[in-house]
Amino acid sequence: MSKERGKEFLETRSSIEDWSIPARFSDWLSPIEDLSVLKTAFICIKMDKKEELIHLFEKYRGYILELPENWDGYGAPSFNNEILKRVSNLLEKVFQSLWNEMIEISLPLIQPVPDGSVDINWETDKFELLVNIPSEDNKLVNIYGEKIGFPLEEIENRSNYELAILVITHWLKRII
Amino acid sequence: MAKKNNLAFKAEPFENFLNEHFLYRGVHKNLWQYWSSLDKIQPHFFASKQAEQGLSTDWSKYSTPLDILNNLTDPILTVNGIVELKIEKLKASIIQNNFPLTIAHNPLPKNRAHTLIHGIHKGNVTKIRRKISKITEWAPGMKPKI
Repeated sequence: MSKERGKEFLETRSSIEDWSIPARFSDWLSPIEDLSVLKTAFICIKMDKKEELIHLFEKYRGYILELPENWDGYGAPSFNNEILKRVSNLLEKVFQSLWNEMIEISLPLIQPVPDGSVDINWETDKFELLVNIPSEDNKLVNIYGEKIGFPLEEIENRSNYELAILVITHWLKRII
Repeated sequence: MAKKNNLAFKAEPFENFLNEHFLYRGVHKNLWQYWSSLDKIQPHFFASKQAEQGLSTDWSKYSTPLDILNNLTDPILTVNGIVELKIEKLKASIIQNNFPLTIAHNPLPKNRAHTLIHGIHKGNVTKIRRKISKITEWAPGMKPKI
């Protein structure tokens, strides 16, 4: 099964009838094949997305690690690889969890913060989410997010690193 | 006995920060070079290592965006831009979001405009940065040139 066939499959399924349960047993054969195509397409898309994520991260990693002391003109410290590993690991876990449920969101901006931390910043039409990874691994991750037009879906949280991954993933799954 | 420094400027009270005034801050290329668009100020500009002791800004009563630019190490718009935060919008955001922020004039011997924003701490900094970035704009003529 090719990726192209998978994409074609998804594009041709537009109405509810296309996804309805077959009435006769013999009609199941086609959906089984279709599901197989769908699975292949999903795996291919996931691999493409993972490559995109790695590419994005490498771009930001080079830029952030090259920043010298006082890179903002107000005394900002330089960065080490440890904090970027935590950023990379968090992104990978959050995206993996979303992709496993076929939830797709755009890639975030990864931004150095003059206090030595790193921001992971999503600004989309549906939601905004700012995740701040602290410079030291024993400090808490700060999270602030809003679903656009839904004030009750605001999230403001401080958690340890592992819990933060769960909090972010849970919130994204709920609001998308 | 220490001599009194007659050249020291006196700090002014909060009431002197009028709604039409601005607070300025320089934003280095290292912050904005990877923004997808310069039209939208990103939240990471509003932070510093000393932010919990007060985030440094300059008050428009005693300074102009051009003064701020000229006082930076690289006073050119290809390296630094200057953002402005209108006091009226800042006060509204403080009230609307119940932020514990205060504005304190903190004149320095060589910079009468120096002003600190107090109240930023680890527990609220992410929301504050997000909200403040939305009410911040490039000062006229001070948007960086790529």
